[in-house]
Amino acid sequence: MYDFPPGLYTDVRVEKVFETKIDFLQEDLKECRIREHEAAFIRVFDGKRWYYTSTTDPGRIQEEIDALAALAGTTGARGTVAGHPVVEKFPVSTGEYLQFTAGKSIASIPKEEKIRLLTDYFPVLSGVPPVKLWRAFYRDKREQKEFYSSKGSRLIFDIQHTGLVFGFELARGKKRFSESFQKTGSYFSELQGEKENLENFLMQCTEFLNHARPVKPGKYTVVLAPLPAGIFAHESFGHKSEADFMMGDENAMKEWAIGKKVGAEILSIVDDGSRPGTGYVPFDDEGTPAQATYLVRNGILTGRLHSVATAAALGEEPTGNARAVGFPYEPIVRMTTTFILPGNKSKEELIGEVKEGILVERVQHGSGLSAFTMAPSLAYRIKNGKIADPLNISVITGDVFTTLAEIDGLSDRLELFSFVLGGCGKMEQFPLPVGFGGPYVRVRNLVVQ
Amino acid sequence: MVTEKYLFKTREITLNVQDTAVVSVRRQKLSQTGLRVYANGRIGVAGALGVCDEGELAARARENLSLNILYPCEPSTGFMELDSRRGEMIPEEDFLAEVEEFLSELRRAQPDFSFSHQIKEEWSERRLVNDKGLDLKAQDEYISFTLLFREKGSLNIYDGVVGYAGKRYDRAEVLKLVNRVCTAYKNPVELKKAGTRPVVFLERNPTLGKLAKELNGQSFGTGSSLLTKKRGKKVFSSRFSLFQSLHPEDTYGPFFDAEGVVNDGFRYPLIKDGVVLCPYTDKTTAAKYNLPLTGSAVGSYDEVPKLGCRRLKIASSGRTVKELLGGEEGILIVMAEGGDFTPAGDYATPVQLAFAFDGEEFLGRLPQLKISGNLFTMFGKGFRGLSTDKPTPLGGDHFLVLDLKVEKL
Repeated sequence: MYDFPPGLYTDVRVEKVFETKIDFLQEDLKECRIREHEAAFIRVFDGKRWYYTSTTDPGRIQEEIDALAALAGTTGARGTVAGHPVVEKFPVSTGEYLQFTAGKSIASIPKEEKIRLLTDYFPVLSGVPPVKLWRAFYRDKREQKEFYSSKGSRLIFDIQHTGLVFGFELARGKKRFSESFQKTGSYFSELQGEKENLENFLMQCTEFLNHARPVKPGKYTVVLAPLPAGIFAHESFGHKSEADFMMGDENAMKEWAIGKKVGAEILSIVDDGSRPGTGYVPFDDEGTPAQATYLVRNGILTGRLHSVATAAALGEEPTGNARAVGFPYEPIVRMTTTFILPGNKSKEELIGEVKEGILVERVQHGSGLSAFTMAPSLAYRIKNGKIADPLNISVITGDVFTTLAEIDGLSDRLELFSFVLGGCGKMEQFPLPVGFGGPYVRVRNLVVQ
Repeated sequence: MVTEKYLFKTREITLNVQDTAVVSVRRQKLSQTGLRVYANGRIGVAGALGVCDEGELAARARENLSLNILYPCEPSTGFMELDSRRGEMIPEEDFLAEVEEFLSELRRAQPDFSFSHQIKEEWSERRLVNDKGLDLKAQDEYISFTLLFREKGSLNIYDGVVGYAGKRYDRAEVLKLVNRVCTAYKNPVELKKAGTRPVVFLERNPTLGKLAKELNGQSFGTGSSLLTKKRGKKVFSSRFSLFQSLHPEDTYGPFFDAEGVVNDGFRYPLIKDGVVLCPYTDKTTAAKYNLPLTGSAVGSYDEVPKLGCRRLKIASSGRTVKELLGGEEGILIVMAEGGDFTPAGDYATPVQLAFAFDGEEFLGRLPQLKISGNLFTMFGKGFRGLSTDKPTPLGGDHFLVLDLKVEKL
């Protein structure tokens, strides 16, 4: 295999990628791109600092390892890596874990069939008068990763996802509204049979366009549907669970001590890379196997997400969350599939108990620094326990920790979502495929504008 | 049949920073080649990473003509070469040592803060050449400091962000910028008055994003844009003019778009003195909706060129930010994440970090705020202008002053 330089920790991640991108603007095909490449990312650790490089020529990997080793040697730290806590934490993973090969690989599906999948839906989109502009997208990606380390890891695994998205802009008079419909899966066959769902969603959007009125700003009890609930879990708590943000800050480690109460007693949040979907990563990009990590259990902080380096620094264990967005980048601490666990009320009970509130079905985006925000697209007034008229809302906000404590009800069914357009962004690495979800989540006292 | 080659070459050195120290060094060198063939109103494209067989690429591109991707436009012609490098960045061999010196001084100057994220230098070359006589070549470079800062012990992932991107480096100037921000952060002040106030953004901010959405040629042509029926009409302040720009002073990267269109002076006016002139377009959109071609095609090396938003640049007011504030205390937005526009153009966002600002000094950290306004008002009677000055002379954005409603969160 490779000749790893003595005295240093070295690993090599080889990525063999097949991906398809098909775009239509209305009925016109605008893009049909198939990319296939093999490339590698190489890391060397000298006990003080990491050195990274990448290459699109697999034949040069050894040369690149040697060049990085020479660079590491210039720090004077060479020879000190044995017994280093970071190196000690690295797992040794071996084996072959390939699921999406031969007929199960999306590479085996002809591009004409992928185009036909999209065009079959076009009559649905072109038959809705307020739809002024629509676009159709097909995406798939299969990645076969190999991971080799100087500690002895020899690992091969693959991941795959595929999906279609229809984006549309509606207009009637001076009213405007845009939304999108999407279906994803691990296999091509999962994308069939969505016409009725698309028709129903277009009808819902048309109704919204026709009848939505601006919300009266104020504080409301808000019921988040599973998609916005998942965004809330991801943005408001997931990113704060990424351990790299507290590196080197003892005060932050005390503030984020395991066992601290961070939310309502009914609240539990989990990150799990073994769940099927776009957050599925059986091993991370350091060779650590996926696992379910309870971030919050019954309102108490119970875990956080780690790479090997952050786990070593905090005296905890790697969680399989070191991920890179592609071969030019190093793995950093990222989420996989993050979700709120369900509770014990039916959706109807949850909404039925609200006298005056808001149901948020879909959102454009969300964020979660000290204040959590959400920009709803489809939202509805709740009046006397019933879903009433549609509302235009710019933004819903709340203090993250206050909001976590204000959760007072969860429905009993978990829904998870995957995405093939966009993804999670952190530092320069965007878009990373992730999944998220939850049940219907009821929160008191959110500021609505 | 016309054959066209699109070449991307990039070299970068990136230092990742954690707790105000360099934790990793990443060197990258990447070359990408795209081949396009045009025939009978159609286009075929193929691409590859690294060293490639251009004959094989051309064959794949010709094969892709069978996909019937319509491209009823003529490939561009013309010759131009522009080297925007200035040679005022840190030499690559000195980069790590200089950044370590900088961080060492920063640790001493700001012991109560932890800085993280990235400091980077990048050099790029982009070339578009075809057998109709097109040959465009652009070379550029930039250095970027993007430092997330967190007061030690803070519960936040980060409390704010400071930095710049430009073609010049001066350690003392970067330290001066970071120290100004940190000093203001450590000085909490109250919002003196709620209501309509002069809000100071850096030029590239979410309000320009909404204009980009509404000035999209496809949305404009199909009628889904708020500006569709406003062409030739005055809908914004007579002080407000907006360009689409690939001018080297405005942006990093090539001076030509993905279809090889080069505008006079590298800019194209979209709004002039408050009057909507046209949306931004690529060749296909301009032809389809009978709109002016503004040269706004985007696309990776191996993609069919398509309409996308290039840099939108507001015309300068010719006045400093202090003059634009006119003696009033401004609200300088450092971090405002999570808000958005409604389809009708109403805007609201929480502001996670803002400073009171007199146009010269960052006076102190304001409490968390919410700001709101409407697209047509903020660039209408609420538009004060784009300043001549910037937070740092090293580069980055100018100040944009808009009157918006400001309240405590």
